[in-house]
Amino acid sequence: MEDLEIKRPKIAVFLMKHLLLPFECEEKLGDFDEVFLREAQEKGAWKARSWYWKQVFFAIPAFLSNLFYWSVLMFKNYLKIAFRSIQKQKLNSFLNIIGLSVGITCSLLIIFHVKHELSYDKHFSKADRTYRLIDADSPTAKGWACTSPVVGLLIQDDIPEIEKVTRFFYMKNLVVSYIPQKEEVKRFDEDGGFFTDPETISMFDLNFLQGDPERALEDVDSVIITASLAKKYFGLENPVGKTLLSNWPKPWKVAGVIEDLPSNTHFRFDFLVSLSTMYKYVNEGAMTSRGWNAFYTYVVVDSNHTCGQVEAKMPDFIANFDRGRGEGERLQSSRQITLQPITDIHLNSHMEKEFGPNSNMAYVYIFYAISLFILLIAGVNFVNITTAYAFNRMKEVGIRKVVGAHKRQLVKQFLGESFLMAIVSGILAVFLFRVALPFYNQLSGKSMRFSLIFVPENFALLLAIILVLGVLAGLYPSLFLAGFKPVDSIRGIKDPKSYAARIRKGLVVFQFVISVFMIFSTVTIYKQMEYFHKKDLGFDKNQMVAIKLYGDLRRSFIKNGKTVKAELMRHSAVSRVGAVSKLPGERCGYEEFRPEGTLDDQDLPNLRYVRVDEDYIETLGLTLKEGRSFAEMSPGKYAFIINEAAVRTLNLKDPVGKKAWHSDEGGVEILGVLKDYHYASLHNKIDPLVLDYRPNAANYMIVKIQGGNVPEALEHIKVKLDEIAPGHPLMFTFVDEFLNTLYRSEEVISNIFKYFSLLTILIACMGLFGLSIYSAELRIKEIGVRKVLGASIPNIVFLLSKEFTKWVLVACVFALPLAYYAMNQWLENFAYRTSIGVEFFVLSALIVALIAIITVSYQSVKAAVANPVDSLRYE
Amino acid sequence: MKLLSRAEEVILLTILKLGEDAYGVAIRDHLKKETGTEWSFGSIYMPLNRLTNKGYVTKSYGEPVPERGGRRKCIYGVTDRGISVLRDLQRIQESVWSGINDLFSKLEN
Repeated sequence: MEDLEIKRPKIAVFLMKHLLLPFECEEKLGDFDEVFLREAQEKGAWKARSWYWKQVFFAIPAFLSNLFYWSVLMFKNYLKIAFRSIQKQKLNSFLNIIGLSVGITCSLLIIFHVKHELSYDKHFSKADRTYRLIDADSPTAKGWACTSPVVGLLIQDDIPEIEKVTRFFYMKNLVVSYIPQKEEVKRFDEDGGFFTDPETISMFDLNFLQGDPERALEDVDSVIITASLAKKYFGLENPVGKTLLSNWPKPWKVAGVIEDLPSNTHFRFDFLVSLSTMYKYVNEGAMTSRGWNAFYTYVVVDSNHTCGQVEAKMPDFIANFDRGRGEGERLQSSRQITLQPITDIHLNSHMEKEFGPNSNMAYVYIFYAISLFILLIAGVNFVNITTAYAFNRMKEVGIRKVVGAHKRQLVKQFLGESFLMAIVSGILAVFLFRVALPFYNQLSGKSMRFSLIFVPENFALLLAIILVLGVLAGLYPSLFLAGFKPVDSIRGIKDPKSYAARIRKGLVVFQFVISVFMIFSTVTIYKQMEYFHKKDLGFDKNQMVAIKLYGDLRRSFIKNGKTVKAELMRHSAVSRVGAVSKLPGERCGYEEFRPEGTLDDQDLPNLRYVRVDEDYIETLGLTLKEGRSFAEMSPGKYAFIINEAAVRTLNLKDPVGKKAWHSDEGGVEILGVLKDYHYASLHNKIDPLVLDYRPNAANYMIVKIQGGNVPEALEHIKVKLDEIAPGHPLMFTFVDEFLNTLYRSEEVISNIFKYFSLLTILIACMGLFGLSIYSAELRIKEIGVRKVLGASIPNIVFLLSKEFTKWVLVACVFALPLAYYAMNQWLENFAYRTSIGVEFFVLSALIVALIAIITVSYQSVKAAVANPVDSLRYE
Repeated sequence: MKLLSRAEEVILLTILKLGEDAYGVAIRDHLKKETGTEWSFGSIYMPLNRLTNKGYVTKSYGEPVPERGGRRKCIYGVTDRGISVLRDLQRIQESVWSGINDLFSKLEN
């Protein structure tokens, strides 16, 4: 009977047997087999097999409609039961749904935040081929974001793989005004102005609303402005062809209006002026200087070449470039220009002279971790509450099993219920998201919109979260529930499997590990923020107003500084007025400082410079360590004061009285040494600093106000300055507020940690609350007996709370070392930082324990004061 | 009185004719011979199920055979109720069809 050995198509037989003919399949399969054999004998095995498959396909429609019919029927039943059980356990369902929806909302907020962070600069059509040229080997180890103007001009000659080049030059201290024919002059302080090459338009896809993109940046003195800037200056007028005045010699003609840049780009510009303008008015020496690293240079590598190929040619280019330098061998130090992908800038670039403060990749990971934590905690709640209350469903499971339900069907049913919960929570989360969004935007400084959630990709994400949550949170409880033995369940054993209770304990501990971790981090971050605000900077930052000097005001101040100061100090609250080129917290430029006695070709480190007037040191209240201040200086004279760090770096002995080389004057005396003070953010160690007496380089006037009446003093200043420069708009900044902006990204982290750790612990406590009800219910008879035998209420409360408190303590043991390690890593970011003391550990453990105890004790007290008659009565 | 669908009717008649041999494959073969078209198993099992549910057909099981992969045959038999339904059907059939031949021949002329 060799014919019998013709192989049946195994998969088809399997499908037929298990899916298509689940009942009474045997004789039918027999029929198929018989015909199959006959076919095989007559037409060959291959034909027979294809016949068999054909039969399978024929059977599919009927199978599906059958399946659908029954599943709809069962589904209706499951749905009914699910709603009933939600209704029956109102409190638990409430806790579950609130927990899950808060969890989903938080993770949505955070994930959208992170997605925004990660999307920086990716929207440019050539983003993958666009690089910024950076000087990786600048005076500080941090790197330098700019290069010489000549680099951009020459690089294409040496490296033809570069398709496009453009340069940006930032215009500092710019005041722009528009003089309409009838209305008043519109004048604003602008910090978003750049000179740039025409290539910028095509490289960064600038979208022109008005004007000709081809010609816009070609002409000298032409400017393109963003739509919002156009609105600010021109309102409803047509800006094209109008002129804007600035501190530059000729007015700029508006050649085009571009759409505002999206928020996710590291560029921060409001208007762009043709670079040819700069070539016209700036002296040639500067524009051809190969050492003047002040230009952001961006290149696009052509699509046939890689960044690596370009970088390979870099050393030759740099050698070539340096040869043309002719500034003496000394400056020709090991320059190193590298390519930085534009998409890396926002998260991974922390160099000197960035466009603005960038974010940090580490924070992206931290954010992901937070959102995962919150989701996990909410999921754990679900698992715990569902398994704890499983005995409520035991009878149902028992009956279903007796009636003939498969375990698989039961698992499906309970999974379905957890999905229902997840879906309801998801819907609720969308509403919560809507409510929380404005608040979150305020916390994080982002401007996310509600419509974000309806972007298909994000909506899919929401669905994915719901799905994963539904499966992960539902799988264990449903397996657990479906695993009940019918006999047990009908007999009514309350906690049939103690291992489930153990898992629950483990999960609660896990929740509290996360909570303690978050609280500890929050405490540390809070302390560090407090440190930022409270740290003695070496000067008193409070009640100091900086007034920007520009235009007429600046001219009069530089001409008659003494008179202006005297006028301001007429008010009793104004105690001192000084002037400076850079505010504390602003980036100070690097220059060479060459004390006498150093050799000409000796390589000296560049030091930071700040230009001050004779009253600056006293105004800030800086302490001199040696020598004297600039107090007796007057315009036209020259002197230096250096800080201790500079003395250390240059290894000077008795610097006071020695001379140092000065670009205007030659040898200039070092008057004194200042005690180190924090003129920059506390992220970094205090760099060596040179205070250069040069009152005519002042950009800010700093007014120190004494006593409480700040508004009155400000009013006085306004009036006086208006007399000095009539009609001149004033720009005020408080120095302490300005310093706070340096810690903006830490502030965001701090806020987010504060609220999210609160939410984590809240969700965890909701779970704990549910469990405490359960454990009180479980021991209701025991409590009754104890009370009858004379136990006091505190006794019983203690008995019931003891266990939970123990879990929290165990959690602390796990979490605290982890959190300590993580927070130490974070604090490493700051040169000046708070130290993590014992009180941090105690504080965070106490906070969590206290919250947990309060949560639990509500239920314990309720159980303890209950009348034992009620609990011991037999029905 | 209940009418049967055409497929049910044909299958019921086939089972009656096949007698002891009336199992899936045989029914299918017979139907193919009679009608000249291929019958899928689905189109046999579904009416068979319905007939069984209505009580016109009984099932009995034969011995396992090697050609069937060691599986049993399910042999169908017509019940008394099945036979009476067939009788009714036949009667209706005849009365409905009577006189049709005359009409046909008229139309042909």
